[in-house]
Amino acid sequence: MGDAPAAPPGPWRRTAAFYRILTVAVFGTGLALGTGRPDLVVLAAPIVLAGALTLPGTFRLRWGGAAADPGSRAGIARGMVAASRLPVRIELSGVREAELVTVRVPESTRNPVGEMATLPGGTALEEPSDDLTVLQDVRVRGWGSSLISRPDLLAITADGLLRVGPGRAAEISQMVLAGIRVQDPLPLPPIIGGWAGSHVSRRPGQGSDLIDLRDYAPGDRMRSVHWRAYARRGKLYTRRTLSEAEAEIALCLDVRYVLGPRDISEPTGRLERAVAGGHELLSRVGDEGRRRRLEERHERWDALEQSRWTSLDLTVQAVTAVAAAHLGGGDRVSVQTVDLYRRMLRHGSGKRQIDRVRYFLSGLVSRSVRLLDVEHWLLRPGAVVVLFSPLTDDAAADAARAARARGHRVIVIDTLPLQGILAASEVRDTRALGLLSVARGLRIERVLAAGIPVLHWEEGAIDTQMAKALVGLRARR
Amino acid sequence: MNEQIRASGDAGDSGHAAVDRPPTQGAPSIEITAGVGPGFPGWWLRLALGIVCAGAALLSLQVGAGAGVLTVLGFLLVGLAVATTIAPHSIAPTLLILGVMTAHLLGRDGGISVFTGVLAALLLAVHQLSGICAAIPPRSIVHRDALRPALVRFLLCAGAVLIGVLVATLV
Repeated sequence: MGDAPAAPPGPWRRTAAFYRILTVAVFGTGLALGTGRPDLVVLAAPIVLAGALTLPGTFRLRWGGAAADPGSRAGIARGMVAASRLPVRIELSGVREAELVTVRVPESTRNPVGEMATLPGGTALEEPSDDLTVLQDVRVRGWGSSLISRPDLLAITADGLLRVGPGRAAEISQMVLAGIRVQDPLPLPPIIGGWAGSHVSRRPGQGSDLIDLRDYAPGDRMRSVHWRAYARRGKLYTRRTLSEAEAEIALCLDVRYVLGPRDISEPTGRLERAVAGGHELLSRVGDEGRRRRLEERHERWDALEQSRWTSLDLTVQAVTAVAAAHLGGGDRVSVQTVDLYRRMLRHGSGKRQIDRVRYFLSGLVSRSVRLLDVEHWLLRPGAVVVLFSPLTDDAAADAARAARARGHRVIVIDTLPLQGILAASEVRDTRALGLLSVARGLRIERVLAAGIPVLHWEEGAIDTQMAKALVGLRARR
Repeated sequence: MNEQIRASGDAGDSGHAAVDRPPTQGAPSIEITAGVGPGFPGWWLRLALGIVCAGAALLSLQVGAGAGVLTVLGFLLVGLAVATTIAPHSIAPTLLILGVMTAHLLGRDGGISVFTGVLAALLLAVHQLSGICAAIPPRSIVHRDALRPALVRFLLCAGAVLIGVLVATLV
């Protein structure tokens, strides 16, 4: 984000081209008269003729004083969501007398002032107009408050005799909501008697709506045995029904630290920059080449964005995915940060709750403060606690165990981008990373020993990890 | 760069009604959809300016002054051509045009020929392109329609002078 204030492009100013016409006319005519050479008049004639066509409008604009100074501003039609394309509307005013207008158009939230477009001004249009509106699709990367556009303006009259700008337009920023990754609901740890609640969810559990039959397993309640199937087959089957309960999911965020890979920078050496620039210039030839170049650039930025994901980014991704999955399943979900600056989104369900969750996450910031004791998390009895943490200190692991000890079902989702950190690490990081890995491994072992599944968000396939973890936990018991 | 240009009388079309904007006092607002489309990069114009400058300098040296590039005048004109291409907003284009006229004055006998007309057209191209290039960054994508008025002006002025030269030559 730029900190410099907006500076309007200012009034129309004369350029070197304006004085060139006068100079060439005087020089050519004077030299021709002085030397008696009519061919010098011929050399100056086209420029003087072009001046005769363009200067009257220039004089009228410069000294007539009727027209408003050109300006630009941008607006967004609707809310923005990460990893999407949305239109930005750039409005240029006072360009009736301009022949060419160059404006910076945003390309992505990562490059909001990077792309430039030169457009016909008011005089170059069939119907002269004071206003121009430029529509541009912007790719949205990241989440939270993002700079969307800064439409700097540069305009010239015919043959560049007068010029306005470039000015520094007002920046517009927008709160970008985190995108939602498609994720199946987590298979929750089993609980005797099902999940208590008042409405039918789409989760298998204690209820009356039959899904199917499965083989009887020791521990199944006798009232759930399907006796007719037993009479026909001579084998015990258990009814699987839709739960009439609602699971209450408390998403607890440990965002005290932001850990991420070292910044992988773009080429910085002069030679590297020159080679990259040359390659880009060559690839710009033709519309198809330009389109390909744009796509390549966007792919590169996508990869760069991904390689820079921090534990905060992974937390936001994981929370939106898990919240959306469980809210889609009819569960009630709450979100809170569990540090001393506790922020909380109360329990809720339905589609509006996922929007609330995303707004909540858009304002998420990291504060390096103490973790709140579990008794102050205000967890409702029986709530399933999903703790999102990079597990870089003992406090988070201890909190997970404390929540488990208070009778909650606890799942820990590890949000440390370890692979990304390792990929971008340097030799000097080896010792610190080795210590971090060992300490984290021991910590995770302790959490697992308490019967708490630990899932690693960076590795993906979170539901498979959960299923494996549940099997592992049963084996431990 | 731009795929379409369309006139629209009200601000509430195309699903962008949420953007507040002042009334346009009856003038139609022109909407341009920026994106990948018909257009070309700005450095093409810079390249064209370089070619035109080099053409004007070499033509005036070889045909006009009868001097080679490896002379003081040659170095001067080529240097000005390079400076014009690099900094079209500076005084260099003016000096190049005056330099070409001076070289022409030094070398020829004063007769009007087709060569004079071609050189005059090149000088007009130097004037127009340097004026335009001063406002178009090389990285900008230039909408083709944006250059149409300048092209029309060039054809009008250069064409009128060339026709005049042809008539003068024939007569």
